[in-house]
Amino acid sequence: MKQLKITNYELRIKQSKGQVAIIVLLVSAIMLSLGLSMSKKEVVDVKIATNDELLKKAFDAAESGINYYLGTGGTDYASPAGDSFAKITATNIGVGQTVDFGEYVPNGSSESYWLVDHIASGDLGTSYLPDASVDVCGVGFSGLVEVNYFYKIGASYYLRRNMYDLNSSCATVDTSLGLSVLLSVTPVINGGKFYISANNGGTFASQGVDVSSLGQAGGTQAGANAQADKKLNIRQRYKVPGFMTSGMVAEGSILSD
Amino acid sequence: MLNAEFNMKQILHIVVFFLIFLILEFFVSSKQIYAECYPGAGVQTFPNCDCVGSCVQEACPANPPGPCVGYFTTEFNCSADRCTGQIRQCTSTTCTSGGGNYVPLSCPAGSVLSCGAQGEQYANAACTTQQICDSRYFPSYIGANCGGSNNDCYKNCSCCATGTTRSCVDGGNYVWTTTATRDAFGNWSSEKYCQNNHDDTWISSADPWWPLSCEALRLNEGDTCNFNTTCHKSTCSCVPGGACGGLVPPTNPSIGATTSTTATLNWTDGSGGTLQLIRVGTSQAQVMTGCPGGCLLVASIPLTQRSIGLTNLTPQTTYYWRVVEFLDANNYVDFGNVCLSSTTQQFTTPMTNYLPFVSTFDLKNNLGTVVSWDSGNKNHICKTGFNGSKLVTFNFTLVDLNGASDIQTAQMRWNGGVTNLVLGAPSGITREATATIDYTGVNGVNTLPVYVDITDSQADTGWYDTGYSWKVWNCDVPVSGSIFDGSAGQACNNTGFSTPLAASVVYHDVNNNIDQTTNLVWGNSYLPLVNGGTVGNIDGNLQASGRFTRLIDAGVGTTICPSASQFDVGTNVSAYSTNPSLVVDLSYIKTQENWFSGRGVDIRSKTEIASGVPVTANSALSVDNLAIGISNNGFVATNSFRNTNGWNDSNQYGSPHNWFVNKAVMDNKKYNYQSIYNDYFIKLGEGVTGVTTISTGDTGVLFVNGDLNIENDVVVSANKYLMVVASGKINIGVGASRVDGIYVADSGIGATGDSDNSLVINGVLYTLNNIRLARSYATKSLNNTLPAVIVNYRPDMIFAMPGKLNKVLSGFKEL
Repeated sequence: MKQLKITNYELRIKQSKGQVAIIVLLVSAIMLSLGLSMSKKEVVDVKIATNDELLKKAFDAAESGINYYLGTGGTDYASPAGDSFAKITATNIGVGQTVDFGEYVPNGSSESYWLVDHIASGDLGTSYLPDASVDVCGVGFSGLVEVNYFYKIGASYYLRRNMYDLNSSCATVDTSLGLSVLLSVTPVINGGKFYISANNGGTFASQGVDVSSLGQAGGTQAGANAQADKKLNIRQRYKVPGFMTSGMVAEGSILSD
Repeated sequence: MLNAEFNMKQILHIVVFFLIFLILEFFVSSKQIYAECYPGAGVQTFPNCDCVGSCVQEACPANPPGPCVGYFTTEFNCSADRCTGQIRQCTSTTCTSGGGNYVPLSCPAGSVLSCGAQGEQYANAACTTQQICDSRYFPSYIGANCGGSNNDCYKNCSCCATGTTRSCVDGGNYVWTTTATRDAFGNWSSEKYCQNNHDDTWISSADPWWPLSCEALRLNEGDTCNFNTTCHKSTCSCVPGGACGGLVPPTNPSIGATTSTTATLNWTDGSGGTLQLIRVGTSQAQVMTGCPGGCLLVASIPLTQRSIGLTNLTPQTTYYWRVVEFLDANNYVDFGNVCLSSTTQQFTTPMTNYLPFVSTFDLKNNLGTVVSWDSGNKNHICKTGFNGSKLVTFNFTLVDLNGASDIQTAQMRWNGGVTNLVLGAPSGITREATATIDYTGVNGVNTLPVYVDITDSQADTGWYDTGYSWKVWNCDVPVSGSIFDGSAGQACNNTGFSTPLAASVVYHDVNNNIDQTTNLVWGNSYLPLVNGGTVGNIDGNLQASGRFTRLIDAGVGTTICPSASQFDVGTNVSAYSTNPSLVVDLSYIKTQENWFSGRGVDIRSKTEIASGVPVTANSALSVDNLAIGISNNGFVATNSFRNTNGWNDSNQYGSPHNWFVNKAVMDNKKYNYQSIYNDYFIKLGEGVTGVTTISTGDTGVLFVNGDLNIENDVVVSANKYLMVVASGKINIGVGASRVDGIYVADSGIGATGDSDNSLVINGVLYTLNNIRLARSYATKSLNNTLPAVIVNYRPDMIFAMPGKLNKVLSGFKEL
């Protein structure tokens, strides 16, 4: 199956494009069948149109399943018409002694590594990484990174800004100043991939979830006698906008005169 | 009657006895004794009173005991049946000289009697008769043959070995005190004479027999008189060859100049000898006996030499000395040979003479108060301690270790003038010496040493430098100076003193409330007043601040930069230079333009950062702020950087870490009103739209569709959040001094205007356009040190936001 990297908007556009294609195919089929003396080709064309419709329904079901999960947390979705279904699975990200999103971080952008858990609402939990230090490592990366360590003492939040020059190695960040909350990593000169490791055996809390939705259509119920299916994946993470960890950012100039 | 008869009988007896006495005296004086032959008839008893032709004779002893002791016997002759006797002296086999009844006493075998010559008989001029040598019955019996007026008096004889004769040398005076009482007949009960206490010591009296001094007083019976008798003691000995053999010994020994370590010995040289020796030692016995045990000095000196100088003597030591002349230079024995030597003299060296010196030296003002010395023991007339008076008292404490009374005179000399010092009473080893001098009209340029000359009983110190110096001058200090622009930095000695700044200055005499321009007075305090300034506004209308003063003591060449504007000329100008003068330079910082500072924030711009951090502020664009929980500053990143106040120091970006990246470090993701509106409001239902004003207490996400003007404080409590998203521009007016929150604006964020209140933004600023923080202090000089706008990062605000706002979807893919 062809993999799609599209947004919902793009999906809608693609759906429209599919309808046009079907019409074109139908017109073409009609014209072809008319052109080829019409008789033996009609049954085949109808079957093609039916399969495309089922695929579309399965895709829609998968997408709706994701939205259903993000909105309700439910993992079984059925379309209101009852002719398509979705089965959703969610997998936590980053739980363990290392967090590696495997994503490239452009220079100036920030990656957020949470040292505290989140509750279902997305608010911060109370389970903090106990480790006294955490290594911030680049994957084949050399250059400056700003590592901002947010921590909490009592009800107050604090920040220690650090600047490291990673040379295909790791920087050890002191995380013993209080209850560790967040590490924000910003490559300064060049972008790269990064991961963090707990140095004292602690386990990072979930950094978010990977959501997988399998849409199905053509059957009477989910998974039963399905004639078409589509599977969509999406990642949901907790991420602080970069400008919020910076403090003072202008896409233009910063002036005193 | 009975009494009359008794008296007549007594008188008769007395007369009879007197007649008998006269008869006996007659017979004795004629050396004929006529005795009756009956017992008890007279003073003599004669045996054989019935003699016929002969009388029994008394015998003399064969040899009288002891040397030259006289014995007497009576020789009888029978005449008219009576034995008449005549007294005569016994003769001795060893004392055969003389004749008749003069019998010299005998000496042991091998020796002869030797009596003193006339010269020996010191002051015994009254003796006109020859005396027998007899120490036991001194004064000696004068024999019949000693009559006559020109006979020598022989006394104090010795038995000298054959070939030697007695000779004595006068050894000095002795004084006796004798008490005598006068009886009824006007006679004295005791006689006065000097006793001979040694065979070799002849003692003579100036008046051996009669107490003339008491006689002259005519005292009555029973009166007592104390009188002195002066005697002379001589040392006598038997010398070979008789009396000195024609040798005249050195005489008149005397002591010349003597110090603690030197002495000069003088004498009159003798004659007749061939060798003259001097002996000096600390033992009298050694010196007198020829130094057998050694002396300090035994030296042969020319016969005619009459003086010798001694050196290296020990202070406070008694020395004895004598000069001896010998007949034979090769064979001499002077032990006891009194005719060879001068008398033994002695002298005692005084203790070491210590030169007096100045122990302390004080200068006193007209009131008698001591004016302390400056470093280097210097002083001058313009010091405030002298009260402006020209009357100065020099007070020296002199010390003489030999005792202060040894100090005789003292003088001081300064600038060629000599002044006698008045000496105070000695006290132990110290003595004050003072002089008061009026320096009115004196104006010198040099600091001159003070010299002192002190004399004591033995020496003069000469002029010597006391180590103290003194200056008398008119106290005028010429002043000059310039005013400079030190905006680029100020530091001693030269930074900030190169670019002239047009301004004028006068020097306000704080003590006398007078403005001076060219001449200051040493010891007074001055406050430079610039551009018509006053004591309350020292810089007048000068458009600058941060006065930095540099004082150059031109006379010495030293430079200091005092922290205070007011200075004391006396403190900063050495009075001891030849030409005391002062250069007063003032450096100012011209008024700085406004500037802002971030605390704990990254400052990141895609295009340009125009920082205004001035050189005067000792700060940086981004600094830490532990007070609000931000350790370490953020980094500064932009493609273009400039400083609007002209400070180009490379350390102005951050403190404590000077993190700067000359590159735009921007997030790929851009945020604007629409995107946030969609993400927060549309998708998550978070936020309030249509907001036009905000104020203290507002929280949450506020959407402003257009511009937002903030003219008042916006305070957000801790652990609350306020996010303002404007599609237009956010303007913060001068009415606001504190604005909390996360501010996002599509068209820029600005804070302008003038106010003496600074603006503190606690939170985050983000815009797709420019951030312009141009707010200035109305009092421009405040910009020199303080930022008008401060942006504090506030971490609690992003964690107070609903967690759902942080949920981000990514990685959508179809499998």
